[in-house]
Amino acid sequence: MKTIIIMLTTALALHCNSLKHVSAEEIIQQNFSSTQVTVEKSKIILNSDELSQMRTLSQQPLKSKIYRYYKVTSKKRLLGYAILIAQKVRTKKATVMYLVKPDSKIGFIEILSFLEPPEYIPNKEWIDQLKDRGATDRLKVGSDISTITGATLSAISITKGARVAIALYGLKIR
Amino acid sequence: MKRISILVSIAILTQNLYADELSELKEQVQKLQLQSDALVEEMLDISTGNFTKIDDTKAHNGMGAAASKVYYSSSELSIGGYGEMFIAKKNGDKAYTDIYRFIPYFGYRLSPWVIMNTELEFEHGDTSKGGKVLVEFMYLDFLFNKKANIRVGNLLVPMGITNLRHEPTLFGTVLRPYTERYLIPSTWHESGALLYGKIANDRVEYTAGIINALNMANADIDSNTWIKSARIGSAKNGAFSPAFVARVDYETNSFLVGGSLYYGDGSNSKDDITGTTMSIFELHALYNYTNLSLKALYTEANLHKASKIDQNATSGAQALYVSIAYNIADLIAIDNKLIIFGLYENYNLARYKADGSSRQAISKYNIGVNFFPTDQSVLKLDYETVDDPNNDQLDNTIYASYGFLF
Repeated sequence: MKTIIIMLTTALALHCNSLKHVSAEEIIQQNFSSTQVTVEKSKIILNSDELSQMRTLSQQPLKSKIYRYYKVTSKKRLLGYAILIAQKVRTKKATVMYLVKPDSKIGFIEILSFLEPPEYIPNKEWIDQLKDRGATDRLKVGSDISTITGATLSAISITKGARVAIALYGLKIR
Repeated sequence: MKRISILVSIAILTQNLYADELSELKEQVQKLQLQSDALVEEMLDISTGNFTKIDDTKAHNGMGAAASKVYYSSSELSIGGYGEMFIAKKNGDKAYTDIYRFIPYFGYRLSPWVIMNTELEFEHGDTSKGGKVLVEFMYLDFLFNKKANIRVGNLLVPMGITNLRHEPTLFGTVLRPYTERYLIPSTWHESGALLYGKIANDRVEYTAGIINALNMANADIDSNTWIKSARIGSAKNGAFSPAFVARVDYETNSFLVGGSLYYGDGSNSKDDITGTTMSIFELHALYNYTNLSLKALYTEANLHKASKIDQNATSGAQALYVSIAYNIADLIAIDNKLIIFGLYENYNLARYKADGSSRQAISKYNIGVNFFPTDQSVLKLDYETVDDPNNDQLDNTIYASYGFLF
């Protein structure tokens, strides 16, 4: 018993040391591991007409008029825009980063914060389904994007977020 | 000439005044711009949350290094919940209503890797008329990495399909499948500690640990609900006897198959009856293909040396169910989910009894429809037939309900 307690305490201590804060810029860089990127932080503030257009384009009852995004370039070449979307999953919120490429298609997706228990996080294979999907795809869970059996609400929330990110890119960034 | 010089003086004076006012206005606009930027930045930080990453380059002693990235929000308090109520009419009986459940969740992130989660249950609306209020879970999660986390406290027992994911939008029928009400007694929550995580590129999810054992000495001898009354749950001064529980799920995008096992003493009370053991196992599978969804579950429970508890005690039970659901929204071109479903259950809560007798299995059929006004709310209509050959009884019940998450 004593050995187990010592091992657990050591594991906890090592775990505490392994925690570090990470910025959105670092997360973006990690997704372009072989390319040095420049990340420029920016924001979008929608007016009432634009919010209404966003609702139509994304087919979402959006409430927020402000969004955070990052312009990602490498040697002056535009790689895309990383847009943060915060949405409810089951009963709690998640913040997801969507990289929208210049051709309006999803480049990568990173789950940045997830307040539901970790077992609700969809696996990478499911998330990768959304890659290279764009404004012309319907992005509907069930018919276009497969439902993940154990985390249906997470799948719906992340897919809806992709629609919002693509719509924001089309309306305000491109 | 005099007039001209007066007019020029007035013009110069006015211009100076306007210039001063303009400069003052510009200063005010700049200030407001800065304030507005600060407010927007603050709002964005609150709405998107800050995040902390586990450094996956460091190995944890005995725990293995994190296989992939895990991010945690530093937002502290989270509030959510769900609720469901229904109206039912059985055979020729009078219709009745039940404010079945209202369950608020409270979670608090004590540190980036230690999270408190609670669920409080208000059941049947009024405590003076059979309702109850209880803690349905209250635990601490120690999040190490995707491969290994620890959950300690009063927690949901990781068995079956419905016990872990029991919100009303996640199953078609108004009442949870009877297999998962009586044999896997959802909502089944006990005190204990679990190790859990995802391995093999997130395809395999496992849970294993120790929880408080069922007290089968308190089970329903008449076997109408059997295990349900054997739960200790969050009772005051509940006796504690360790039982082992483990679960494994294998998951692909559209398919999940898994199983779980429970093993512990048969009796768990201050006046223990020694020499009995209780075991339950179940196998389950879920399949989704476009708008089609299938579920199946088989379970068996065995109480060894049941006669030590009571000569009439049940010693073995068995149940299974299969369900099919199809979202017809695309067929009729509407945006809201509209699901038609069917469920078949076959359960025997007294397949074997200590006195050598047994009962016959009960068959149950449900068909119905679920309409989702939003993804977080559902309206249900459910027609149920229960065929109990033991009483030569056929019960038909129609249910209508609504459920929501927030």
